[in-house]
Formats: sequence, structure tokens, C-alpha cells
Amino acid sequence: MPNKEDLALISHLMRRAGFGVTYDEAERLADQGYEETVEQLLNPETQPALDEVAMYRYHPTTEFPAQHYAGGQANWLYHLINTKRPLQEKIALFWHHVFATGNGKVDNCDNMIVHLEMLRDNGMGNYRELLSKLASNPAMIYWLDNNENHKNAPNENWGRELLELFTLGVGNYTEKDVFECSRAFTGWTIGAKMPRFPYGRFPWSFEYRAEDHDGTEKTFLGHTGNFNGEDILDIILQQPACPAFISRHLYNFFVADEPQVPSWDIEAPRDPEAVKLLSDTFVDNSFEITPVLRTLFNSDFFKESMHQKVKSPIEVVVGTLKLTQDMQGPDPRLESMANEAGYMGQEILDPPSVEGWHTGYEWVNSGSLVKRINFVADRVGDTELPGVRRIVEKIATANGPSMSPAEFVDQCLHQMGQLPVADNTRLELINHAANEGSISWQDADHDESSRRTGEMLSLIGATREYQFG
Amino acid sequence: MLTTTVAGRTWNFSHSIGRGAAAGAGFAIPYAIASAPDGALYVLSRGTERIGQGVILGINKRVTKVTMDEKFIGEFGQGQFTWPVDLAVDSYGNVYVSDEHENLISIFDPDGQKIGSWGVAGSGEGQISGPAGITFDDQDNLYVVDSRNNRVQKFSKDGAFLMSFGSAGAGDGQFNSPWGITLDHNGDLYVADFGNNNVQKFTKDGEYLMTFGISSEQNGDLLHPSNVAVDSEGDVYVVDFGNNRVQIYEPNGDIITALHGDGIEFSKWAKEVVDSNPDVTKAFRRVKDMSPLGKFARPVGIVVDDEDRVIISETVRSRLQVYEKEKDYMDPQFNL
Repeated sequence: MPNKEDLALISHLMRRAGFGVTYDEAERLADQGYEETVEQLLNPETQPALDEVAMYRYHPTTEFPAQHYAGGQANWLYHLINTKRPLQEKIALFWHHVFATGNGKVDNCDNMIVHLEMLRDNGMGNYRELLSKLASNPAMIYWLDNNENHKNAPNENWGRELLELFTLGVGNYTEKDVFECSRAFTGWTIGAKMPRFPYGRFPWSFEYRAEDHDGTEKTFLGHTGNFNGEDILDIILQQPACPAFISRHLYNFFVADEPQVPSWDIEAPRDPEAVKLLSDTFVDNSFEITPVLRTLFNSDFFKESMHQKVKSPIEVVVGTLKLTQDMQGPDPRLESMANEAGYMGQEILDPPSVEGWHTGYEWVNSGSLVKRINFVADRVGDTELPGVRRIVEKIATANGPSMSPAEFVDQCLHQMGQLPVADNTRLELINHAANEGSISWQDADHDESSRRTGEMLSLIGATREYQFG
Repeated sequence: MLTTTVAGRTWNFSHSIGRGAAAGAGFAIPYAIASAPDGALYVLSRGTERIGQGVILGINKRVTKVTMDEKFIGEFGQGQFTWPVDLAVDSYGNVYVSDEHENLISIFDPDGQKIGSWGVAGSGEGQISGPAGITFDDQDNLYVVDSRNNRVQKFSKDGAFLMSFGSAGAGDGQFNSPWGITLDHNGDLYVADFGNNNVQKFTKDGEYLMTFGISSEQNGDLLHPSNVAVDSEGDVYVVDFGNNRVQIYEPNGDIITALHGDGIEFSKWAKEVVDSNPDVTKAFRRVKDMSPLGKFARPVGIVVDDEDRVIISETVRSRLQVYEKEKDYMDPQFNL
């Protein structure tokens, strides 16, 4: 039986490297061991792949959802809830933050799904290769107008964001570099495609048009030559700013909230040593991403960062569904459930801009907080849901046939991911429980105690502490 | 358009029917097809799930009646279904629709008026969980693929339980999330076993006879078959849902060939859309390779009509593709 500290640590890992686990799963993984669990996460091929064809059977709109945008979001949500490879989905979400691309402009959810699959399949591979796939990804090309980037009329949108948001960050390149970078990517475009009417969308494809590529000399970040796009990516990776920039992103996403990206050129990282460790690991491993993640998850700074990050809306939604074991497998509510994170401020597959979402405390405002609390409270308080039923069972058998209000509250907190709360929060919860006296798990009282457990879980879901993951 | 010729048989592509539409002339994810007594087709649209995106919940889930030459006759059932899967027609011309979420069989008269429904959720005898494929025998009894219970149950058309067979597993006569079902002209049953990647054949009393879909080097395995149909000569058509094709087998289980879709020419309804928008016509002209237009994009439903025409529905394209079986085909001289 794992101790409380081990359970808390493994739950922390699974919240950050995935979307949380049930108490039973936390116990199993804690028995398996922390480092072995990290390795399991880092090697997703050791776990069974999600059966996408089965998803298409029950949710046909998740395949080639075209203009039916909700189907695309449902596709990803189904993966997020049902995957046995949680880090593969979490890293896809990470890159979706960094390489933000949205259906609002692309207006082709089929190719947003292809874009997502690219992030999923390559997200833990080599960053250089990932950039190459990104540069030739049709959704990204359309999103940043590279199909409008011509030999005789360069468009700087892709070139600018590649440097500013995807690799180096502001302050590490000049306007001239942006222009030269853009020239190098002329001719990288999308092949002529079939129109969406009358039979729906057909896949887009990358096309390189040599006749539209500017093959003349360019000077980029101090290097001169007849550069094409791949040469530009090689030069970018030689800049020390690149691994440092991506490492800060990794720290911000997996460890603790940083300021928003536009202020990174004026605000130092929260933990410069941690970012340097990740950056050095990145370079030492030829920009392979998995070794950096291994370093991160096994580091003290990660293990000590429990409950220091505001959960993103999609973490709130998926984490709650996993905790309550709701919507496991096909469910007609899938598409409407995919909206819930949007109501809280995070429309997956449709970030607000190329800068992605603002994170940390910016996830929370008076409107989104109410949505977050209501979503969690409605579900963790529903004792008909299998995960909540299991929590009630665990609490009912934890401490004999009756327990004091304080024991009851501690058990509920323990089942909710070993959630630490402030003393005054705990006291308020205990006072609420005490209003109805001690809790009895005798047969005659079981239903009433079950109801009180659901109510207490709802209250815990409404605490400030529960907003942190 | 000639598709495939094998010993003594060939399948000629005839034409396409349909286009994507939330109502009226067209389909929204057509999951199943059934022949009407007057020779027309009933097409069941699974539809999309939610309010918004221009689609009001449930409205695009419907049964459309259309002739083989693509004349819209009517539609019914809007707002009546959650997850409709299959439809079947009894000897009176009434249309039965299975709903795998509501665990219901809904009944409509030939005019599309709902005249009843039956189904009790559960796993006991006569209860159903996730009803998928349905088919009538010549006595107007309905076989229902009881998918989540991994069995087939036989009911009277009014829902009285008659018998059942099958259990969960991967052995002969066992199922793993089965889907489609059909009867051949001898009264034998065929069940598309989605999870076990095969089609199993039974007597009408549920006695196991044989399995289709054993892998072959040239044609590979079935991957999650959705449906099955049998023509008048006993050739068996399996919709290989996971592989985007239709596999055709001899009655003895030997593989004959596969169809991959040939609907490169627009259906009448689709052509109306293209012709009404000059930009769409221009956009098609700049496409260098039109072949993807004809390929099956997630085929799902299948029916063989009395003339041995094979009709296949596709979810992604909201279209039917029709093939005609030419039985006495003579191959022309090779070096013509």
C-alpha cells in the first residue's frame, strides 16, 4: 500500500503529464514506482493505441468533420478522455499552445485534425524534425499565409511567427531576419484542392513550387547563402536563444506559471536554473524532446511544484471526467462536452490568436470561475457517476463504521487527488460537515452519508485550491 | 465504368446518389440503406449531434426515401432518434429503425408516420443494449444485433422475444461488438462482427456455420467490418469499414475481389450544387488528380436489391455508390 506522499507525487505527475487519474489508478502507479511511471509516459508505444475506427463507428462526425467544427473538438476530447498514452495527448496540447493554429481562420477541421495528429505523432520526437513538419503542414501554411508568400511578393507572416513565437522569442532577431526568413520559405504552399461542395472536404497536401521560390542570396542571423526553408531551420537551431525559449515554454506548461510570452524579453524566468538545465539537456541530446521531458519529470523542481499551476480549462474538464469516470467510451454528450472548455476560455483547435492562450491566473475571471466551479461541482457531487460511487465506497470503508467531520473532510480531500487546502478552508469544510454531525456508514445511514459525501466533494471542487493542479 | 472482373463476374459502377444535406435532397452521414417495396430506397442518416453550426439537434437524423434514379420522394423521423443505426422493412412496408443509444426499435408506416416503438434496456432475455443491425425474415420476425450484449436476438415485429444466440468472446459463434446483419436467399444469417474483424454465418436458428474474413496475403484482413449483404448467387459483400473498401467473397468464404469506390462523376443532386456555383466548377478544374473524389470515404451501409445491384453508403461523403453485377461477362480480347 503506497504512502500518502507517494500517492500525492504520482497524482501530481499524472495531472501534469496527463489529465489526472482516479485514486485506484494512483495507487497502482505508485506501487509501480515513480520513475517507471515516467518511463511509461515517455514511451507511449508501450501502451495500446486508441482504436480510432471504433470512435468513428459511434462518433462519425469526428472523422473529417469539415465545417462541422464541434466534431473536430469531439475527436480530440475523445482521445483526451480515453487514451492510454496521456503524455502523447498532453504534449500535443503543449505544442498546440506554442504553435497555435486555429480553425477560426483555417475553416477546415479535417486539416486541423491532421495538424493535431502531426503534433501527437511527433511531439516527443526531434524538435528540428517537428519544425520541418510544421513548416510543411497545410493548416499552418494557410493559418500564417505562406500560400501567399511568393517569390516576387513575400508575405512575412509565417517568417515572423516562426522566429517570434515558435523558436527564438522577441529580441533575438531583426526585422531584416524576418524578411530574409520569409524569402527562404517562398514556394512552400498547398496543392490545388477539391472544393468542399458537394461531398465535403478532401485532405490538403503540401506542395513545393520551385518556380515560386526565391533562390537568390539571403543573409539571415549572420549567415549568408542561397537559403531555402530547411537551411533557415538549421540556422535557428544554432542560436542559444532557441533551446532556452522552448525550455521556458516547457517549464511554463509542465512546472509552474510564467508571465505571458510577450513579456519574456523583459521578465526573467521564475527559475533560471531549471530552464538552463532543460535547455542544456535539449542541446546535449540534439534537440530530442523526450530526454528533456525525462529530466523535467525527474527533477526536484518539478516534484516540488505540486498545486502551483492554475489548471487550464481542458485540464479542468478532462480531469473531472477522469476522476468521476464519466463519459468513458462513446457518449452522445461528447460534442456538447467539447464546448465546456470553450465556455471556460479554451476552445481547443481554435486558440484566440497565433500567440495561443494566456495562461496562469489569466485563465480565471469572474465568468470563467463560475463555469469552472459549476462544472466540477455538478459532477463530483453526482453519486451516480461510477468514479464518485467508487470514492464513496473508499471513504465508507476507510475508518470503520463512523467518522468524525474532520476525518470525513480529510478522506474527501485525499480522494480528490490528495488536495492540500489552507487551514481556514479545511476548518470551513469541517464546520459544514459538523452541521449534520458525525458520519455513519451503517447500512441504514449509507444513503444519507453517500449524499453528504457528494455534497462535500462539490464543496471541495469549489475551493480556491482545487483550481490549481 | 468497369471496376473489376473475375471468373464469371464483373461489377460495373453505375452511378452515385446523394450529397451532404441536413434536410431534403441529400443525406447527413447515411448509415444504412433498405429497399422499399416499390423499388425505391430508404436511407437512414445518422446525423450530427448538437445544436449550433446551423444544425438543430436531431433534425438531420432522418429517413429519406429516394428512387434509384435520384428522385426525392420524402423524409421522416426527424427529432425521433439519438443514435440511429439500421433500418429494415416488413412485409407491410412499415419501416423499423434501431437506435443504439435509446435501446429502441421505432416503427413508421409507409407514409412516414410513427406507429410505435419497442425495446427494454438491459441484458436479460428479450432486453437489448446497443441495438445495431436489424433484418426481417420471411415470417416478419426481426433479428436484432444486440451489440453491447454480444448476441443476436429474434423478436416478433411487435417486440415479443423469440430466441437468441451468441455470447461475448472471439470463438465460433461468439461476438465482440457486432454491428450489421443480413439474411441470404436460403434463410441463413450473416453477422458483421466489428470487434472480431470477421463475418459469421449462422442458420436461422443460430447454429454456427462458418466465418468469412480470414486473412489472405493479397487482400489482407478485415478491419472492423460494419455490414454485410448477399446477392442472389450467394456472393457475400462485406463493408470493410476500417479499410475503406468492400470485400467480396465466394459463398465458400474465398475472397473474390474488393471494391474501392468509383463515384468520380457527380450524382444529380451533387451536380446541382456544382452547377449553381461557378467558382466551385472553376475550383474543380484546377485539381490535377480527381481520383480521390470517387474513392469510398468510410463506407458503412450496404444493400443488394432484387436486381443484384449493390448499393453502398459512405459517412464522410454523404453519398451512395451503386454497382451492377454483370453475371455473364465476357472479357474482350486483351490486345484489342
